[in-house]
Amino acid sequence: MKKIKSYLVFTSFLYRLVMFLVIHTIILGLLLFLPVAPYMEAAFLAFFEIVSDNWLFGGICSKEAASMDYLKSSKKGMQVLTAGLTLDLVRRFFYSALWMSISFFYARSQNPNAFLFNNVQTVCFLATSILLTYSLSVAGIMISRFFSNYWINILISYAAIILLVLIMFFAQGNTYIPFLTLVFAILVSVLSVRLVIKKMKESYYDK
Amino acid sequence: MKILQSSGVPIYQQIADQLQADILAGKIKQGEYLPSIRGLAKDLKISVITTMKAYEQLEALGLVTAVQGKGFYVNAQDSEMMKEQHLRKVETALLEAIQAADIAGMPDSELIETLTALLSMKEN
Amino acid sequence: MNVNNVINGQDIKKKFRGFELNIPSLQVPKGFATALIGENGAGKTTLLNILAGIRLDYKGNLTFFDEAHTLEDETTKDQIGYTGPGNYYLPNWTVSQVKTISELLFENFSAKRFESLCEELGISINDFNMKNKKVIALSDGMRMKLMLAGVLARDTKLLILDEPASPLDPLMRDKLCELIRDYLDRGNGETSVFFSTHNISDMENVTDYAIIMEHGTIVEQGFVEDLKEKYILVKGEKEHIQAAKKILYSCSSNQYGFEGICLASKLDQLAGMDVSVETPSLSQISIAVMKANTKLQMKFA
Repeated sequence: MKKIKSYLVFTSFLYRLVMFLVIHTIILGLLLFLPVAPYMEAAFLAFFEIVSDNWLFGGICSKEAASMDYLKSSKKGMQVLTAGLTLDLVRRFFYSALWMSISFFYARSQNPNAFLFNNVQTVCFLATSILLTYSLSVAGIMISRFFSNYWINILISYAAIILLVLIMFFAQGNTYIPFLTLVFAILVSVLSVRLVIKKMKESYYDK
Repeated sequence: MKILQSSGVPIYQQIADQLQADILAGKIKQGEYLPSIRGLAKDLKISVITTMKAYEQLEALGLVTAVQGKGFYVNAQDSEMMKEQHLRKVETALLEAIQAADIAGMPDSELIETLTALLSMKEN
Repeated sequence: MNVNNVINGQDIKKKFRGFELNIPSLQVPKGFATALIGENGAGKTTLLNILAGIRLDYKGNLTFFDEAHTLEDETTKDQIGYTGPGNYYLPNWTVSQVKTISELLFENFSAKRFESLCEELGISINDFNMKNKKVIALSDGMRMKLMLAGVLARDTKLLILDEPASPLDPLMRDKLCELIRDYLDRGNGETSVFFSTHNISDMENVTDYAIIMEHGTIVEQGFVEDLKEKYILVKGEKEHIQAAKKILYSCSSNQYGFEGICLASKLDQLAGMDVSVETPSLSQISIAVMKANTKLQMKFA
């Protein structure tokens, strides 16, 4: 409960409005009216995950934010920040899992000729799309957090979308790509939290 | 209480003088506590150390007593003793005058004359 | 006068590039407001950062609250409120987030008190636009007021304020003094304030103790009332300038005469000169001490 609170305090009103409400409405709309699921949903989700991070931890690794004095003046600062960063990743994974599953099964139910996979292939494709949407957005924010400029987030998100859709498309039916994406997802998750905490620790010292 | 920032008299002295007058006039009674140091500083918009110095001066005069953690309370003002104190003050001042007259080579009669003249001036 | 210390430090040292902080002994009296004075680069911010626990690259011993606690203790940081000119908040925080985050960061933070302090300081915290305004978009003065509301909304025993007066307008500086006096009054001798300032005269009426720093070390310190007895302000005629300069701590002259600060103990040496003597203000004392210690090769007329 305290960890959830630690995450929520980093979210502003605007962020909550967009990421807890608006985003679901839009993805649902895309799903119902644009017949390119789940690629469209994956691309849109990754785009919003990266862009909206500018309102959350945007620029936290940049020079302008580097000292984090207020957090440091509390004995709980680092704990709260770590919990916030971690819970944010959990939320991202949950969103990805939720919408990739829904859109995949919905697309298949709408068009019986698409995704003619056996069970193993289905699991592999789903796992790839969930893990890839998640990990590319995390990789994106990891980089964009070094800049507080909004446009950098947008630029990075475009790159992420292109990569995401390409890999998803070519990974169809492939059984080893899911393992690679799993490794990648774990790597960026750990790294993204570590990077911010490292920045905070470094700010206690002159380099 | 009135505090003048640029009267030439240090602020702590102004506070001490006014409180002393209040105590001697019986406006602050025996056993009563003076306002807290930090409370008075806040009300007068001055620093804590300034009020503290004023209170310490009152303490040195024997008008108030400090109690650890409670503040300063007004001592019993013995009227006989007060008179005595005033008398001593007058004596000291007069002694100073006599010494000054000695140095100036002023005869005693002239000194007395001057005093009478000053007294009559005051009466008028 | 029997005074305990809220901060005790021994041999606080730090070296970084050309700068060296070296304070053999630091005592900040408990129950008072202490001003940290010094020119830019004297090491004020570095020292305050060390005391607030947001800088760890130093050597030395530091204890707080009658030498009973160190910064590593569980409770110490909850008892210290710090405001500073650096990157204090995260760049994306909004005004209302500052409130919710503070509640989580500090045990003794009262949201209610924070809101009433904000209103008192002219931050309309209940206004929708203000609530959702990014902290980074606030003016320096507004940000300072928000920081002050943040630390004053907590139950602390020590405030460490780095340049609180600089970004504030004259009215708000007066308010700041009032808030400091109120904080000291509420604590009844248990609460202390340690602030750095360039605005000595604005803060003089709230300064009890002064510590003057130059190139990383303390060059003068004492209770203001004692310093005002230690130093005197001397004014004199032109013809005595050369003789006076040898005695005065700092001296400025023009075609009509001279003015300077000197140690009261040297008053005898001025005998025979036609001078008038006054009690200097803290600001005058500070400037004299700083001039006498500065490394800057400035031309003081």
